[in-house]
Amino acid sequence: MDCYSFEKIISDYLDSNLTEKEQQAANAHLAECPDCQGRLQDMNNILSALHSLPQPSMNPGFEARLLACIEQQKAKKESPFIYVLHQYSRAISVAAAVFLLLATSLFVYSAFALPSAPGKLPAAEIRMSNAAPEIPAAAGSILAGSREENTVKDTSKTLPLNYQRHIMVVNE
Amino acid sequence: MTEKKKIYSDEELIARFQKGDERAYIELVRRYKDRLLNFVYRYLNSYEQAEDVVQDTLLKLYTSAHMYREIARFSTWIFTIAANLAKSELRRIKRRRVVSIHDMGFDDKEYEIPSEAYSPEKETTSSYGEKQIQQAINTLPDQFKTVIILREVQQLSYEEISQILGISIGTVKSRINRGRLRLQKLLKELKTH
Repeated sequence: MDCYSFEKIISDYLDSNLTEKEQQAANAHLAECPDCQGRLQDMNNILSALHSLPQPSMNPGFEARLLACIEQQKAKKESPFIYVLHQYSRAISVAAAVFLLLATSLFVYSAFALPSAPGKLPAAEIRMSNAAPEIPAAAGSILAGSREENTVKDTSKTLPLNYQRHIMVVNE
Repeated sequence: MTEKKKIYSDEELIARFQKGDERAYIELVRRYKDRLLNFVYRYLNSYEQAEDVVQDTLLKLYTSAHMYREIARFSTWIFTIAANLAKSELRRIKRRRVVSIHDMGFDDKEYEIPSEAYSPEKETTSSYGEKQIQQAINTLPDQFKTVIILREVQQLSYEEISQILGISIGTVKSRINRGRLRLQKLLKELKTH
């Protein structure tokens, strides 16, 4: 056996995991190799130092803290709503932010993008507003003659102010 | 007449806890808290973080006791949980220690900077101090570190280590041998510096 081979089995030698034949070969090598004797002695010192490392012990309050943690876990299980809120807090925040953004966009659009003056009405809406008096008029024609004009006026008053102005202009 | 108090095995205690006996859980906690702390402390080299990991381990024992089957020893099962949690904690610690210096404007390469000063004590005798041993353990690659602590500090058998880490006994033996040699080399370097 040479030094390289001994190094490969040094651990098994220390743990007495070698066969009788291997053990004899290792002992024979050790008897004539001061380097490997030193290596073995050094390894023994290291293992002794590892075995005698001081063992830390847990702080006295550890058990109480652990039991408090367990109680907390139990409480979580008992109130699933809070548990879900806690688990999905990020998703809930994102959903709330998206909702707020949509709501704000809708408000801004309705405040600024929708027309406030008749001249700015989109073509389709102008057509609707122009057509508006005709619908009640047509409906009114079914009714008795003198009530026709009143029906038109009454119906037009239920429309938004913009459209009412249009109806007045068209009627003139 | 004095009443004899029966001493339950770990496996009997976990079986009782699985049936709802919380006193059995407390007994298991008392038996294992220091053993687990010793293992995790040597692995992480931080008492506070080790205490947190042991707390998480014992909390997991409480919440997942139903998952234990008596095919393995209880000690093996609880050390497996602790080893996995300790590994995750170490990864987290390492991530925090990695300091990116590309903010300083040099280049995009990240450098790993040890958070603690590396100043080994020089000893004149052939014996090794706790500080030196712990420094060498910290420097060991993870695969050797775990087996060395389980074998030399916890003094577990090859078979138990094999079950805890989910590797063959042959691999355990090989890692112990290589780990010991690596430790010896590291300690030699520490002594000469």
